[in-house]
Amino acid sequence: MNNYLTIHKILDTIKIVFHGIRTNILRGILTTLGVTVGIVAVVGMGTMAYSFQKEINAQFSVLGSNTFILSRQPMMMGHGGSWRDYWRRQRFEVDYMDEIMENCPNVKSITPYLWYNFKAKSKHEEIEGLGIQASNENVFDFSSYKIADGRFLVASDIQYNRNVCILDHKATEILFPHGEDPIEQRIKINNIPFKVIGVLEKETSTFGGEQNAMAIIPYSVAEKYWGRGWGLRFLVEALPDRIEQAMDEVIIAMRNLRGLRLEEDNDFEIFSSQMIRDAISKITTIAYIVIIGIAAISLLVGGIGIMNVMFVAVTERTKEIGIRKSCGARSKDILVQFGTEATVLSTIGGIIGLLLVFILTIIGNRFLPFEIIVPAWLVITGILFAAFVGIVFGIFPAYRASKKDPVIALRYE
Amino acid sequence: MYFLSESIKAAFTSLTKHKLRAILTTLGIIIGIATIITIVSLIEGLNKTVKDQFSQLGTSVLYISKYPWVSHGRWYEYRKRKPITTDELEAIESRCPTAAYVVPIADIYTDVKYEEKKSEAVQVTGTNALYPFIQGVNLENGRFLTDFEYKHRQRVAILGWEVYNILFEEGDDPLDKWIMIANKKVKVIGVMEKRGSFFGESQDNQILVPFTTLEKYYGKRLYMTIMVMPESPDKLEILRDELIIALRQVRQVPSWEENDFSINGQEALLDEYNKTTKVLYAAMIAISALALLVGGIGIMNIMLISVSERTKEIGIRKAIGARKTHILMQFLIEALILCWVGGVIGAAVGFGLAGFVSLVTPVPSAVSVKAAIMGFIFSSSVAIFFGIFPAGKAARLNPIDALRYE
Repeated sequence: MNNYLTIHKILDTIKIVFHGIRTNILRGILTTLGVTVGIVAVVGMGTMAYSFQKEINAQFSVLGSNTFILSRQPMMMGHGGSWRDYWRRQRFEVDYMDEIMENCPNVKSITPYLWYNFKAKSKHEEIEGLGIQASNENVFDFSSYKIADGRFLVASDIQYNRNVCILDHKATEILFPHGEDPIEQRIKINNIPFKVIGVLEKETSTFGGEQNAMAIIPYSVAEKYWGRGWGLRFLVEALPDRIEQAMDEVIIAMRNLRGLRLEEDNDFEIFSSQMIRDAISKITTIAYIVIIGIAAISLLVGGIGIMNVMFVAVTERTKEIGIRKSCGARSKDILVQFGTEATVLSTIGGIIGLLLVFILTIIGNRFLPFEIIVPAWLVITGILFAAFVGIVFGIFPAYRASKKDPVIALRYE
Repeated sequence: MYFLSESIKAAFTSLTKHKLRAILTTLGIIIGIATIITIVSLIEGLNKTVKDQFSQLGTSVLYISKYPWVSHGRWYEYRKRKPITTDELEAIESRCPTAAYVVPIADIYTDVKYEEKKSEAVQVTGTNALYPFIQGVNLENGRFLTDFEYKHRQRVAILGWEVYNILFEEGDDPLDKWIMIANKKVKVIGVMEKRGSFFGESQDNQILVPFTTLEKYYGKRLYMTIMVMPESPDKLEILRDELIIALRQVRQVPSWEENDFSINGQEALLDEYNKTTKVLYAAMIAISALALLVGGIGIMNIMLISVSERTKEIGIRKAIGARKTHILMQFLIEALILCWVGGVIGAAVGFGLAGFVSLVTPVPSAVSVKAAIMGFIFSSSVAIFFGIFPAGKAARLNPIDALRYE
């Protein structure tokens, strides 16, 4: 009996609420619109931030969780040190590799990694700035490079200083524009002949869109012709789940190699992909909070709009409140009635806003270079947030309605 | 004119009658305007700071170097260029009549010692006697380089403020003392005043020496830039042409080839900065404008309510001779007053907020007339845009129906 009464009461309230909204359609739409815009702004920005963050994480996890970078200079400047200090550091030697392999039992493999930029020529065409990545056979374990044709570097290419190179898709397109098979062809990099042994698959790059033309060559060959570079880095792979130990071992080995005294700081940098991601998200998180915060202001204004309209509604329906009260409605019932009306209005606004976000996402995915995904938790948060706005801004007008004296309310004209 | 003052009076009456409603409606506008003003002020502040930093380079100084300042990562295209040398310097001095000051600069970074004290990674800049005319440095102590010292490769140095403080005790006279720069004995002839920092890099950790002296020891390894300033800023473009001609001649660039040198100025850097930040700033302003949009919708909603509430009043006014325009103006002015009041308060809150943000965080802010004008235009257009529909609805009411409305 009691249950039946409760259900009946709820249904009754809902019926009254929708009647209240329906009698003034335009007003309802405009009130909802405020929340809709607010939710579109907040959820839209949240979605952008989420998708962008995801993309960044994907970009920087190419390295894999068991790998870290050993470099002379930090990935990003401005953590206390000045570039002048980094500039003065000795350069890295390729010999470090052997030392590290010998002294660090938890290191599985180590790959040198060095960039140059040279002019390259084939029989037909030339490239003004071809990026040259000098490395060894391990580089293919760490990167997302996939071979489309030909072969990878092998250990003997490095050992015997073979003048061989692997071209990426873009470089192949430019150097061999007529669709001939580039494998076994000769090209000249900085006027030194190289044989093309492989071609990489086209990479679906997201950031920067256009990728530079690039070639991979054995580092021993690069060292032979162009000397030791300043930018030599090592990619170090640890044994499974031993990355922490491997990092410590490498730090000790490097300090010995560089002849650092006890009181001196490391004059090299070591970072895992996790550390890179953390450093980036430290910056981006602040940006996201600021932008989402600014977007949330419009939701606040939408909430104020709801409150305003609810006050008007309460005043307009003073007589109705009086009648309901004199027929036995409690203050609580009136409170629930107007509170529900505000919440329903803002929730509808929120749902419409979410639908708009989905539509915008579909459009955005056509034009943006990375995929936008609306995460489920954001959808739920959006609806809850909209409902919350309704409750917060509806409670005050509803309270005022519930406190009306039925005698005075009935007399109201 | 009479009907205008009447409209304003009517608007005020109706606003004061529903105080809470008016406050809440205005609040939406206040928040919207305050958000925009805050964001715009912070962005303007940031822009101004960057611009001030760039202008330290000198607004009418041209920098000649091998590489352009803005190369979009395509530096390798310029790698083949011949380096800039003293030949170019002499060519400019002799063939460019508009060039009032021609100053070479080249830096190395090295350790500097005096007795037991040592300063690491000091920027040692080689230059000539005209350096202070372009860079605007003042000396705290001693004198500047002379032409004689430049010509004869003298080992003399002018210390930056920070270097002086590291090498010497407070109150020590550094003049005529011999310091060691990269293991060469050099005599101190002057100390510069504190210059502050340029994009976070201290400019006081610097020593000036004659360019020729630096050249003697570091020779071809130096990356030389020539700073050129005309007598007056308006001759900058003439100077640019003269420089191109002189440099092409001395570097023997054939007529069909492009320039194999770069003439840089601070405005190129500024353009680059504007280009990269414009989209971000526009997006931020757009997002903050959403709040104002929502506030505007709130105004429209409340105006519609107030029109329907006052249908009878409109009917009476029309019946005793009010024209459509009168009714329209009455409601439009009501909306405008709401927005203007909101705009003024919002602007004050916004400027206050921006000032507060720049107090507690390193982000600078600037109270800009532009932001204030923008706020005024914004709130007025919101009022007109969102007020015109309800006001039009009121104006079009048929007086007979309106009078009968209950």
